[in-house]
Amino acid sequence: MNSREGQGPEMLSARKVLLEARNLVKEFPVGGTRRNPQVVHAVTDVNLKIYEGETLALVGESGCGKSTLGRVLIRLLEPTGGDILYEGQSIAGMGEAEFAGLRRQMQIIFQDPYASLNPRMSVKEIIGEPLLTYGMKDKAEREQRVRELMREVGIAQEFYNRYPHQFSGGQRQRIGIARAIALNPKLVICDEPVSALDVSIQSQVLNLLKDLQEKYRLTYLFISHDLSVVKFIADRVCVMFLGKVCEIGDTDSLYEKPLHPYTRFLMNAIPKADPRLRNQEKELLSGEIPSPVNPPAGCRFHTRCPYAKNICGREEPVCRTVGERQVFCHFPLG
Amino acid sequence: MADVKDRQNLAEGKAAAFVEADKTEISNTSRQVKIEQDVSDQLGEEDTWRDQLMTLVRQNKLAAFSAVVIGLIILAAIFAPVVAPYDYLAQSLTDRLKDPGAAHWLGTDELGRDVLSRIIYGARISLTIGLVPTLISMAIGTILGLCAGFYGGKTDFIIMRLADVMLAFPSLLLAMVVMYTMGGGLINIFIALSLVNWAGTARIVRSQTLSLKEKEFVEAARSIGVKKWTIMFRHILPNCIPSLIVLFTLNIPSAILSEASLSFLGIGAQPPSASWGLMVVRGKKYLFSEPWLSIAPSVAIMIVVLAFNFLGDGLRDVLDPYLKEQ
Amino acid sequence: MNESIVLDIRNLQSYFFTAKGEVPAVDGVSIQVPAGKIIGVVGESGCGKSMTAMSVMGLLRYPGRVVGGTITLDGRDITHLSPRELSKVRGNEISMIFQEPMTSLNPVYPVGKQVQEAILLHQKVSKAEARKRVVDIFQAVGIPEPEKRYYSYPHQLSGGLRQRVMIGMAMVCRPKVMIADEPTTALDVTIEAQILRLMKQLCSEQGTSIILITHNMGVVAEVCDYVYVMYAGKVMEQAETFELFERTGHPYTQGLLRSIPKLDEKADRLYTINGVVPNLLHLPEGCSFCTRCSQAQKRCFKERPDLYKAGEAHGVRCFQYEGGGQLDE
Repeated sequence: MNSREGQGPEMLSARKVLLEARNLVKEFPVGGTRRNPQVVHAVTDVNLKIYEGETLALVGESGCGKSTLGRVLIRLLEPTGGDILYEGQSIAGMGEAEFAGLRRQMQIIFQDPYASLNPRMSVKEIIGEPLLTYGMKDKAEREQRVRELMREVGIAQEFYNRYPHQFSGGQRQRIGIARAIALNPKLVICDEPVSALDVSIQSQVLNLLKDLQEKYRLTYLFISHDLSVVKFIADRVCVMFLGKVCEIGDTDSLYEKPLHPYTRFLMNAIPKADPRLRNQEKELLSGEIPSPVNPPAGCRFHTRCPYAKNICGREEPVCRTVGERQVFCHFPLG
Repeated sequence: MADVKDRQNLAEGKAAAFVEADKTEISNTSRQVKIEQDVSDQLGEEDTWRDQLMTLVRQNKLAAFSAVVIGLIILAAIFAPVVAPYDYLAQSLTDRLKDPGAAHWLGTDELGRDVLSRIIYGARISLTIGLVPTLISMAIGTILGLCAGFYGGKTDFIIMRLADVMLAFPSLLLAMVVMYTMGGGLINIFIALSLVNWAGTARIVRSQTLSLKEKEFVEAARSIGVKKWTIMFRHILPNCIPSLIVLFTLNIPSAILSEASLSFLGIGAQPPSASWGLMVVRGKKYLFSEPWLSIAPSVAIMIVVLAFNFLGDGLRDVLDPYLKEQ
Repeated sequence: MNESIVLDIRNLQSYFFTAKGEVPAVDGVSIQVPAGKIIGVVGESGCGKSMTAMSVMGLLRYPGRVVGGTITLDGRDITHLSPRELSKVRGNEISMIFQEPMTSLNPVYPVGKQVQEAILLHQKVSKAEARKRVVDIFQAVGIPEPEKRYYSYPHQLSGGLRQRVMIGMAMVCRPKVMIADEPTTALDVTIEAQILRLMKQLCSEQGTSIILITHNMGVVAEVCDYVYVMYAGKVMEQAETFELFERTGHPYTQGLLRSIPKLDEKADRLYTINGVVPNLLHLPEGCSFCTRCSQAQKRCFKERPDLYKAGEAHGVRCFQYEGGGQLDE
């Protein structure tokens, strides 16, 4: 599992692509008039590859479309345009019945451990539901598997018949994880799985996710706004801003040397748990995040970018490849 | 017109009250709720339904008392032959229009029948009328509301416009139309009231479905590949049940009142059955000479209706988080 | 600490009286706030940090109640003020901002009007003067086009701007102390950085002391002068920020700091504190952290430690520091 180390470009390209997004677009109608309908441009023209067995992190601030992208990729939301390839097979336009067989290979873990479990179902029903849905009708067999999953995620066996409200946030998140891995999926979308948890619980859940990945050879798409968590868990990182990809790259090199100005500001902004770093006069981004209903023309970041030149407001930056990294900027740093 | 104006005044009054209320107070209530939540989260055990029942008893004595009253009335109705001192149909021409006294606690009517016994037997009719059509109409309303909220689009449009039409009609008038075309009698009252009352339930279930549908646990079920109907009945419906219970207790009295009104108008229960509405109208003739003939059944109606309403309000405070937040 | 103490909380106890028993949500907390400093109160959810703030503001409602201790604001005991007197103090001498500014603003009024109202409530100035002050404070908290924003409704502002409005409202009467309860938790990192910088700047320019309540050690390191670490209703450790991060005393604080993933470190596994926050109704007999502590001795399960002196103005509630004697405050 040392996917992060010692892998040159040729090694990476030799790895199997599990999921690929091609020019993926997702828009939500938000009213306006019939002649002039308004849409939220949640995801615009995203190209992305997720390799088998890796953890790809989607990073960005609220409204950047990272959660939407995660849901579109496993078709919890229908894409407006573009294509999604799962193991080389297009799944974007696939009918429900045809897709049903693939569904179990892609699961999702949610951010809010309170909203993601049905309050009226017990642990055995929650974890057992995916098993039941895919034909494990035999009660004893199901119980055995549910108990096995509970052990796997660290929920004590005596809680088998308990209801979600009897658990703490961290335990609920573990139940959600057990439900997601019940069907032995290949891909798990982790949508901010630890951001609602306390620090001391957060590290427990992160370790658990890492262990499970190793054991079941899972592929993670890890959605987060927390760059320090991402640094710990991800092999590669994709930074998004306002529905578009800014930069994709290997975690270590991206953290060491951000190429997109936005990535650098994002890293500067994180409060670091070390008071010695506080007095460095760090540059902060000014201004607010533009509205995704009327995103700025050209580079979407140019209204906040201190390095913006005329061209940034006019033309959309194309993808530049620097080694194994991709950056969408007219004037990449470094 | 007057109604519209009243409503406007009410709305303005509310807005004014909202403005006057100390703003910090408003935000702090929600703050306090959050802290209490934190504390109860930490305690690790939240309210089970048994705790909730105890909360109800502790916090709302009136509701608990109403529940006892309702229980007693239900028992009396079930064991009417045992409880009632006389047969409710036994006429006695010698005992006509007796004043309340030791032999007949609530006196007798114009045919010499014991009023107390008739009221006890009348509870059977009133409670059946309260329960059965309410159950039927709520079942219809729940299913339609679920479908409307879950499927949305055209299904939603059609069902909800139908509900609007139903709600636009004065429900008693609608029931009267149904009763006139189909004739009186208990069964027809069931049908009439069931048809009339589903719309309110449908609206409430729909709005809850709309919000529940967006919850992550529903999304989780979809990501597993659970079928739509299963999602509706396994994930959404059970979470509507607290509101449905509240709605149920609040719908019963209105059904009882409707029956009484229909019977009063002569198109509900037919003599000689002992319906409270019917008793009120029969006593009307003797209102000045023997007022108890009308007053006794009216009081019975009042007690039952109030008890159900108090219980419903109490249950709502405990059970229904949707209404609690508002 | 030699600075003049503006707000002095001594041995505060706030309990929740529930059906299942008394919950000691705040159990003997002492916090001193010097003028013009930022004091951090850090801890996990349910540790009593928000309860402390609510108690100080006199905002606890049934079933919560302050049962002991004193709160002194600028030499005046405000623990037992009547609601009327308290509302004069609140918003004027001491103010509070919350995590989610949307719930604290009235949605049917322009934000400028609401801030203006706060001034008129506490100070005898004309409406025009109050309005001018609103525009000034909007400028000061970095709201662009303050004249125009005066007439904006809360829903027309972004989360960051709303929080600026709240800070403006809290600062407009130049209070002595501002309590900020997780002010940046609902905001994005780039906006969070702006708000933190703003608070720091206001603190030094206007001399207002700030109590910053947070769960984020990063935020503490970034802006606080002095830190209190709370756990299960008690202060576990208190020290100046640099001291706390460099010579961390309490095993709990150490665990917290070690379990945060670091940006400049590569780790295969994260350090974890085992177990969960204990049930406040059934706290361990001894130190409340003993069940999760990796360094716990026999004694920790039986006796309750005091705050012991571990250095200059550095107190640790752990027997390892008993040799230093009790921390005198």
